[in-house]
Amino acid sequence: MTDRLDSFTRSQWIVIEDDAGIVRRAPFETLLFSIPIRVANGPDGPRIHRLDTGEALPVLRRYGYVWSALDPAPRPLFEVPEFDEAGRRFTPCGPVGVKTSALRVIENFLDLAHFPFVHPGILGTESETEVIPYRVEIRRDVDEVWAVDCGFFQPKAMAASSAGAQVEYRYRVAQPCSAVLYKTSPGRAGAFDLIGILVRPLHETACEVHAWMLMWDEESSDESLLQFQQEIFLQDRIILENQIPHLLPLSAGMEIPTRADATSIAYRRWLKNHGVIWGTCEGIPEVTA
Amino acid sequence: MILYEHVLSSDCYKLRLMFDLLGMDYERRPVDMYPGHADQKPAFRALSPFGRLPVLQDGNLTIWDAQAALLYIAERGDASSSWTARSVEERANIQTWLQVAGGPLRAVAAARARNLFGDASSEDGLLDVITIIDDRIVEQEIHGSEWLVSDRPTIADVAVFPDIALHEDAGISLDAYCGLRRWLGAFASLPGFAPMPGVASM
Ligand SMILES: [Fe+2]
Repeated sequence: MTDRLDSFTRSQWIVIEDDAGIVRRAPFETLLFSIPIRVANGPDGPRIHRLDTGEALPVLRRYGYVWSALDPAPRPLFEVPEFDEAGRRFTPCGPVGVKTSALRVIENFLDLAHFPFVHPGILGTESETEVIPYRVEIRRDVDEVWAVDCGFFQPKAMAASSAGAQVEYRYRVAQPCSAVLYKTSPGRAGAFDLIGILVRPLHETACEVHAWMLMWDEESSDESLLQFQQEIFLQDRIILENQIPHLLPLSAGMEIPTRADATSIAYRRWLKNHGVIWGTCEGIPEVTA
Repeated sequence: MILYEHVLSSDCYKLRLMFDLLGMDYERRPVDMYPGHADQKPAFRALSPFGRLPVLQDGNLTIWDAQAALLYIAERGDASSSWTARSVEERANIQTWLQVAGGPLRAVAAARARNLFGDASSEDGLLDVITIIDDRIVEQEIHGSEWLVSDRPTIADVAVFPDIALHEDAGISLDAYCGLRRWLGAFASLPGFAPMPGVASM
């Protein structure tokens, strides 16, 4: 299977676990691009080895997570300067397994149009399904996909929301398997709350999704923040597992782009331009995945 | 009444469903079962000795078993006694299916937890319990009822419904279980029914 691992995907830092999960679970065995790895925790921090070759893999600690890569010299990790802003509250939501391609999970995360249908009463309402036109851009300096000026009416945009609101969104694909959403903060005028997902491919059509929140919210309890986000993600999960094919089509014509909005089209094109194979339908003659 | 619960737990969904089906108000107190495992910590175990969600509190009474709490809600909130036993025979049958919900059916909840959260657990008896419940429904249908115990839905149906309805999360296909699929559809048509994430549309 790893012959389908393209160099762009291989050179990315991939999330392994959040800091608390490392402490609780290590040592443990898991998968990274179908390769079994072992994660241990010692006095000098986490150590990660391939179980097939015994090779030690690079380890990075950042943003409350432990990251690793199959490539001994991964590309620099994306920057999220908001992590350095004092007063923000960081909440990792714990890993959730999903049986589909990591890229499908990112694509779903970027899709505004599904809110009224998949998250009715929370992130959308069936009476207001219109997505306000927005701009999609490839930021060449950081090589990321951004969608800006997205607007949407949401009945309960965040755990701290007391009423429905017109919410502004910015989406950012920072890596093939990592995306960040910037969303009008109900807790601080003019500021954005951040919600991110980091996806670790276990296999091409199975992954582990780590969602996190970085917010201006002093009111909500940890429990209500977590369960708000987990409920939303579990609504997506059942849609994702039932979406066929599980691999993401990159070539035009392989999937009628009814769901695929401008961000999704830009994301797929960006992946294709980088020669991404892993988790896509590229090189698979008959789509049966 | 106060319900200590988690939004993704099938046993908690069971009690939320009973409240909804009876149109009762209750207070939800979320517990960080995941990722915090707060249900295993001493503070929660003081409420629930086995560290299991949900816990139902009513005044001085604390109930830490899902099936017992289900029965309590139904007996408190259902003046017509439609959801509980009306005869000795019904009580025996309802009790049987409550035991299934608290016993063999936990294998389905465990399979779901493993798929969602990667928790290690055993799959023993997974399809056995599905087949047995499906057989029961089909047998009931032959006798002209679409419900587990009686000609009307009872707490036995409420007790068994969540784990079966969340079968996709558990990685179980119900394609071969026509009785269960019809029963899920009938249950989802009940007035007051509310889905939870992972309950496929029926
Ligand atoms: Fe969604």
